[in-house]
Amino acid sequence: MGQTVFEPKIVAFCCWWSAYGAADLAGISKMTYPSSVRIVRVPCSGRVDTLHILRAFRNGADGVIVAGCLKDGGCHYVNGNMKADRRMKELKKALDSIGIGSERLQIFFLSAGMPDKFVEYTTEFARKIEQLGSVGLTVK
Amino acid sequence: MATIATLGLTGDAGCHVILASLHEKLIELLGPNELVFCQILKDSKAIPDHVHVVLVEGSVRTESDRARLEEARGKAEALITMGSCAVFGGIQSLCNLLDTEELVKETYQTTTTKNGQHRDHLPKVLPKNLPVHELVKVDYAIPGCPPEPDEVASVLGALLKGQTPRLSQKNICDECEKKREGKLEAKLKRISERPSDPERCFLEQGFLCMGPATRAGCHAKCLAARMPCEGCRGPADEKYDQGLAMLDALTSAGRESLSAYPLTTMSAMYHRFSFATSVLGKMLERKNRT
Repeated sequence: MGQTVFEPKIVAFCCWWSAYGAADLAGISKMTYPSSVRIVRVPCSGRVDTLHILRAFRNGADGVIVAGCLKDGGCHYVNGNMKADRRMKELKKALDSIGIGSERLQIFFLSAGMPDKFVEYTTEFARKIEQLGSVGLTVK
Repeated sequence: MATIATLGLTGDAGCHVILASLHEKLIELLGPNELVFCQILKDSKAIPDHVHVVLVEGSVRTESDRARLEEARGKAEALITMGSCAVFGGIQSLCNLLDTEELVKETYQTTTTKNGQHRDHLPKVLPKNLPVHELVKVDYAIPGCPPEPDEVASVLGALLKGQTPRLSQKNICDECEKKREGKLEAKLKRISERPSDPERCFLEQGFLCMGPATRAGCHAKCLAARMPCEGCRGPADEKYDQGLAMLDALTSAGRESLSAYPLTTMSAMYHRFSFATSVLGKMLERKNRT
């Protein structure tokens, strides 16, 4: 008792057309997902730069999610999700090398009609980050 | 009349050579002003107690660099950094990816040195290679490796007259004369595989050219000499991260083959001159702690 429970800070960049819709629907359907997940709505997952993610980590995020439309033609902007996929693959390597660890960054793809998947993915990710603990990055 | 001193830290003195290569233009440029300390041009042994301007070349790698820089800053009214080492940390910042202890061991404790002992008279190596602005206030920065002589002359001339010159905010592609067709090769190539059409954009032919993420002002000289841009002049504006911007652009353009490169190679490609000032370089600290 008296022990403080570690609550991670997770930033989720959600695409307006799918992931944000799924999160919205999850709310309407009264489904619950971890309160540690903070959603940032972006027009498209392809808009999320490597710099956005690194800044999130530098400003105290313990995990970052990028959520976009389903692969194989699901993207509202034709191929934004594929750009995000390639970008995150590269960034994961960089995260490994600078000691943050690629497991703290996750990309997933879903459609606006998949609130259950959204809940499942975020819960799973939050649990993983809770186990990993804080990034402890104290860089200005 | 203003007094000017120059200071060389960790670097190759190339920027001093650029200053010397101005020849008679240097005399015009200086006018009534006096160069009081310049190891390549003058015989004076130390910076006088008070100077108006100090030009700094090179990055801060050792304790001695730091002490000399701090001394110069204390004596000078204005400090101008010259060249990519001083402004961004330079190529030697890629050492920040490696462990300093191991690095010193590798360099100085081979079988050729006596009993593998560290030489005491060598200045202590700092844990990281740093650009000048991380330690002291910098009043103006002239990037480039080496900086363009014409640019050095015009910027210095303007600064000595009390004006604040502005560097170009465009990128190299705006100055490059290569033809662009709007079609990209899927595979990334090394420059050892020669470009099939030297008059066509290198990036379109699959070579990594840092032109889109690099500040203009050098008239795309390397490209005119059929070499892709290495990005020595840093990002077009301080608020961008040169290497990450390039990574974002390349992944958007669909370069699957990028994954074949580990981070050290990637950084050597994207952050060749600016690793110490990049976000990745700044975030590295944690790795060395744990």
